Amino acid sequence: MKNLKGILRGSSLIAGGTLITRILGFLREVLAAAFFGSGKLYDAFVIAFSVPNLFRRVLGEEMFERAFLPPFKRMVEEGKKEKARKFLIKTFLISFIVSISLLVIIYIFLPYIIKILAPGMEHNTFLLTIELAKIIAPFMVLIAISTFFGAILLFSGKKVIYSTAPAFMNLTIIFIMILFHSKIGIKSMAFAYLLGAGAFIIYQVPALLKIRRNLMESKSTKESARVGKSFWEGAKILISSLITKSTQIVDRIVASLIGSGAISSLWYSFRIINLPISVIPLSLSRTIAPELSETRGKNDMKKFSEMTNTGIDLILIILFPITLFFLFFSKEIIIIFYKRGAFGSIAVSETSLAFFYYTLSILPSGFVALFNRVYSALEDNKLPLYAAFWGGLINIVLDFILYRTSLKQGGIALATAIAIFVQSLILLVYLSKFKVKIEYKRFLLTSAKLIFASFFFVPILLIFKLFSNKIHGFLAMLFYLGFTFLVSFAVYGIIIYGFWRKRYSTKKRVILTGGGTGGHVYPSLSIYNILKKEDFVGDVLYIGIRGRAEEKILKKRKDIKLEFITSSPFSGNKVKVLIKIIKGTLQAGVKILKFKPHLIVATGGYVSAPVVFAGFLLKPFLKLKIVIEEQNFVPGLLNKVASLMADVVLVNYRETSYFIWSNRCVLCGYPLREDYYKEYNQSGMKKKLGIPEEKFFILITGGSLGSRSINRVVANSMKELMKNGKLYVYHSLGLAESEEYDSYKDTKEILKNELGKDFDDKNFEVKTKDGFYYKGTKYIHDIVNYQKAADLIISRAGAGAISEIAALRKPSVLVPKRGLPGDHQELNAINIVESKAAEIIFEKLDFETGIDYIDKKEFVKLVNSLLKNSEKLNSFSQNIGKFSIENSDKIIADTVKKLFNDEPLDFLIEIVEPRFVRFRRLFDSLIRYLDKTVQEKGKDNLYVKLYNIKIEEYMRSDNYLVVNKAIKLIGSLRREDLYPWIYENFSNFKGFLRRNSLIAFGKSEKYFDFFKEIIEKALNDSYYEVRREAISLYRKFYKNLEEDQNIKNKILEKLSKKSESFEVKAEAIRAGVLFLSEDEFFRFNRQYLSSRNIRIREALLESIECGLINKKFEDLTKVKNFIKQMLITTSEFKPEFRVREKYMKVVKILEGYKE
Amino acid sequence: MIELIIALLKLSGINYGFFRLMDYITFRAIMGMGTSIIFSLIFGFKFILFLYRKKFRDTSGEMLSINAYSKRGTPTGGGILIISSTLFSLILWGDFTNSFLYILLSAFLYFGFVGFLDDFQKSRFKSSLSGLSQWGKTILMLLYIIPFSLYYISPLCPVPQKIKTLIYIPFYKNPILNLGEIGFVVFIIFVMFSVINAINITDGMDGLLSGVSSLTILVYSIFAYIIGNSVAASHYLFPYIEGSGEITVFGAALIGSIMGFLWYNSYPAEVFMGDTGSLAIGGAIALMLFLTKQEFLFVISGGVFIAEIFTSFLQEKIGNRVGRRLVYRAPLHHSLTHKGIAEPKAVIRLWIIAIILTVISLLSLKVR
Repeated sequence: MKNLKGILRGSSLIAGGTLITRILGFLREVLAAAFFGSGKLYDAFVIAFSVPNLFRRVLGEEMFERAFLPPFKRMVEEGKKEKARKFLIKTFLISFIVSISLLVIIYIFLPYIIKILAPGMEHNTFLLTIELAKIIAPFMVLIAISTFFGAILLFSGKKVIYSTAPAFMNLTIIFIMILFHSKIGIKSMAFAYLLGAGAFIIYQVPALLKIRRNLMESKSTKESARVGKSFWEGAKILISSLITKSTQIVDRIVASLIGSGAISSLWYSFRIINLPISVIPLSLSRTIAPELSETRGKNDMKKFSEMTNTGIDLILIILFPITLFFLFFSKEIIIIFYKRGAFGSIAVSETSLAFFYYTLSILPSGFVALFNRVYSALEDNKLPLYAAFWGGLINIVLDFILYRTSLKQGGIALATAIAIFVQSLILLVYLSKFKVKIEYKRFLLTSAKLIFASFFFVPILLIFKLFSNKIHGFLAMLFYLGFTFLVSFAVYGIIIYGFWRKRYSTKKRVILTGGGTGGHVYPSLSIYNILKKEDFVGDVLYIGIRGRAEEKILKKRKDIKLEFITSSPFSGNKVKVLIKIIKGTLQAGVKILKFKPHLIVATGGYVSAPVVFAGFLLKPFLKLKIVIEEQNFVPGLLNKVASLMADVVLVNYRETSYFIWSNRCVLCGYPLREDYYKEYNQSGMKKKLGIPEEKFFILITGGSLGSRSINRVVANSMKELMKNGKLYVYHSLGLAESEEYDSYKDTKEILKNELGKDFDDKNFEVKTKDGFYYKGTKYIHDIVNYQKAADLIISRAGAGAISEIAALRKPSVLVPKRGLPGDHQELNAINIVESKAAEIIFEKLDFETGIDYIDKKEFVKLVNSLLKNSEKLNSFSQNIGKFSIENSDKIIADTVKKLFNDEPLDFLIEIVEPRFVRFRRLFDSLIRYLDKTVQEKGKDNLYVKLYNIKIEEYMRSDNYLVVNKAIKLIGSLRREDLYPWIYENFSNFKGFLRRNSLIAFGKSEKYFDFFKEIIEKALNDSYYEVRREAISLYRKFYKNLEEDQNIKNKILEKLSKKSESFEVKAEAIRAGVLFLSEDEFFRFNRQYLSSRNIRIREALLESIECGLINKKFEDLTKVKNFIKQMLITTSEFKPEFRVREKYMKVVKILEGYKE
Repeated sequence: MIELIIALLKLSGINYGFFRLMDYITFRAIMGMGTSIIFSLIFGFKFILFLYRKKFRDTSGEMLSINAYSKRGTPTGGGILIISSTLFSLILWGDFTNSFLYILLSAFLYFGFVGFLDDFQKSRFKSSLSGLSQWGKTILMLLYIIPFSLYYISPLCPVPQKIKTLIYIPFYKNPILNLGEIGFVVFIIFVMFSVINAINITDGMDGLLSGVSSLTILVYSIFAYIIGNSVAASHYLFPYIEGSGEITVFGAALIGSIMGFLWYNSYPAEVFMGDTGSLAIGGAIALMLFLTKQEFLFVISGGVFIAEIFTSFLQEKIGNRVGRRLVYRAPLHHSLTHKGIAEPKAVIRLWIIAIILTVISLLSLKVR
């Protein structure tokens, strides 16, 4: 059974490609039938095309795959690369020359060839045929080249390109046909084929160039390659396929004796039959072939026989139902594919007659294809020749006998079927001569299974068949047949699959996946350990990506088997990514099928997505469960998608469930190693590590790769730190060794420059007389011990780091990473710091170099202040506890167990929108929040601090929308120092920015002199919102601007201008009440009393209100009279939804009780 | 289905006179409309409850911030109701041997599915930001539109090959232009994409899209009835398209289900249709343009949609680049509320405009 999977795997790849090719080929034929009908035009093309097509088969696929590839492979395997290379070139040259000379011959004798091929053709059609043949003849050469390339691709394992290249050709043909069929008629077909072959070659070239490099590597040894012998072998194959091909031509000639329509009916039905015949057996045998050659090379005849038998089995199982289906629905299939336009119902019945009998040849053809490969692996090409000869002979004889009967073209098809059957029999019987043992018993058993399955399969087909003549129309028929196909094959598949299912063992088989960085691998291993402790896990397999962290980490672990697939992070070229992911999914699918896991545990990283996808697809067959662990605060896109396919998503933060698309989140915390949960003794640990107990021990770490900003600030501030003799510092520099940043070298350099001789660069140590000690290492392996010993940890604010710190209850300084999506690490860290559980220090961006840095002074100040303040440190250790989830190992184990027992799980129901999401979603809500905090609490707030840093960044952006953010922030943070910047750039800003600048100024408490200038400028602005805000700003600082007549005039101008936007008018009305005298006010605003626009009337009322409050109006009767004239019909209202109102009341009362 | 049963009965020799009724498209259309209205009305409230229980709500992430003045948290995805009632009535009254029906259904269901993905993400994934991205939506839409355009010009499509690539305009009986096949493919892709987007954008107020779109569908159903009837087609000087009468049945069933939906969707809405509904309706209307060969009639009958997408395009593509507002608010209906016209008033005004446009479109039946 092991072979079977291997064969299936390879062949499914090729079968997929071939299937696409053939489907496209069909589309090609279908379109051709619709464009050109089945009349003389198409007959001419069929004949013209059969000339190059004959040689294509002979010179092409058969030749290269059977004659050239086996010896070539042997040479490469024996290490004779040079020889192989020469052999390759020689074969290429010879085949090229042969095909070119054949082409010349064809051109010379074209009329005669066509006369022979189609004796009874009319003169006009004959001329057309010649013309077409002339165009299409070079197709032969092109296709010879491309199949040669294809053979090399197949050999080098580029199965995907190999199998999709023909699809590409068909696509080109279809396109050209659609575009040009109306302009140049049937000739478009000829050109289409020619260009299609060209496209075929071009498509293969990039892959070939890659391979060429591999083959060209060794040039040292001189060996000569003899093409001679293998060419003789090739000739044998050539002859045998010539025979097969020419029997088809004989078929055609005999068919022309039956009468018109017979040729094309044979042609059309053969096209359809070609689909199952070529796709499945060819792909099967092509994948078997290399492995067969390999086992043959090892002379392992037992395995060889086993593989052959498996091949026979598979062909039987796959082709048997297809044959039945085709037999039952022969007519319907023809209708779907061809019945339209010129292809009438007579043509349908004629074609389906031929098709019915051709169907019988599907199974034997499959066997012939398989056996031919087996023989070529045995390096015997005589027997296929022999069999083909007999087959061909029988075919021709039967042709002449059967065509006279009532079967007509059906007879010819039947003859073909019988001939192929005989051929396959001959091939089968003679296999024993080569010590290949055919297990006839197994053969019978499979047949029995098939017969059993057909008890269910056939009745379904029968029922559907009964109703099929009620269906009319193409689409209806297509749906009907498609449905039939699905139903019947599903039943068949289930029954056959039932025979193959394995029994379960008690312990669960688990697939672990996740990787890329240690951050994904360690949780995966922790979960594995947790489950193992519960005696839950049997076999285990880890799926990762070659060359990433998982390979290094798992090298040491002998108990976990590691296998690799391809995948890609979701960035860069989306198409490439998608292809990689699909490829990875297929690979993972094969691995899952092989391993048959009960549980898949994915811990994120881009490797896990394909595994989860594949697991999800196979879920109905394998009854497996999928568990995803998401340790990040914000999951990546792939993990969000993957979460939908998981049974459970274990999350580390409550807020994470907001991002996870699935509703099946369980809060479990970060799966840490067991060490973190054990009780520990800090001073004992210090002793163990050789750290003097009285010293203040600081552990500095920037994650496994290291953090540049932390490393640099530590190195830079070493002089200041050295002054404190109590300090004992351990610094994990990180493994980063990229060109951009090498953590070890870089830090060393800085320390050398800073300290000179004081720095011991060999041991990476700094020691002073009064007891200060510093040591830097690349990586601390038993970091958990150092963490336990530490008095203070300075660390990145990643999920893992925070969980570790929280689990150990350590005081810490968090350095969140800058520039992550949504600034989530910074905001998450703020969340912790706000509950007084840690201290924070933000990174800043150096605008010249684009590198993140930490302010040195700030750092030193912070460390020194913490040193003195042991109370604060104690409170940190107490408060950090609530960020640790105590028994996450138990939660994980329980969840998984419950999952398998179908018990209800403890899903997170309430969904908390993290603050930063709201800030990002509605930047204005951030602005509002900041406004509020600045007003109420002043500037001593972490958010204010963070966004004060961000303003500088935003200001420098090229994107005006980001600059816009900066302007808004300047406004709400009252950054008076940056007002001049806005003022200077005001006229360069775009409309929105000008508007927001004015709004920002409006928030200021103080009046600045340039406001006046800017208001004047803005009042003349071309953008109405700027004018509106200008008036609004004027209103705010009216007291400072009271004297200015110019602005007043301008505002009044706005008020009376007809074309002015209603927003500006409304604002002007509001401003007017400030400086207009009573009479003037009424005079200017009388026109707006019955304004059509309700907003203007609103503004008018507001201004009167304002005037009344400020005692602007002396004569209240005047105001009353004025108001009475007001139109108070309305086109707007404020809804009040009563149910909601009551609901809110009740909820509020309830919340009150809680408090 | 009824059609099939009667066909089977006829085959077995049972034949009553009233069976003939099934041959009349008008009868089936009216019955279809009635069935879908009744279906929507009966199951509407239960369905709303179901959506609510399943947390299929508009921005459900902010459930805590309910207030008395906004409709936040209203169930969305009511398009599923529209789709299922249309399907139900079509299963009863549709003629499933007609290719037009399959084509329309394919678009209706596919775009409904795309919309559902979007709604599902928006509601389930807790933030209105985390719906399908613009790109994702575009790609998913093009995945239908491009194959459809190729299918349309291929001989497989039941529209007669001769008139396929011609352009007809309202109020003029002869084709004015032959775009050619390539030209027409480009034309289909552009028009379908914009029409579907326009209809999608219009869905922003209670009852707006329901009312306006059913008028547009009505126009196309009437046109399809005439075009699919050889006598009427020659009388009104339309190119005859065999079998296109089935579009009328589809349109009627769709109008029925939209009306049934409007029952609940009218201001203040108890349910929103979401992208599920708007994209499905958009897909169906977009196909009707091409299947009846009345592409340019949409300029009149779908005038509201065009105004909506035009304002939205103006603001998003040009305005945001220039950095200022070009219209008060985009799309059009928000502009109306910004000017101080309340939502129900704005909706009814737009309905009135749509009715006027419908009358003009129907005028173009005779004035040619």
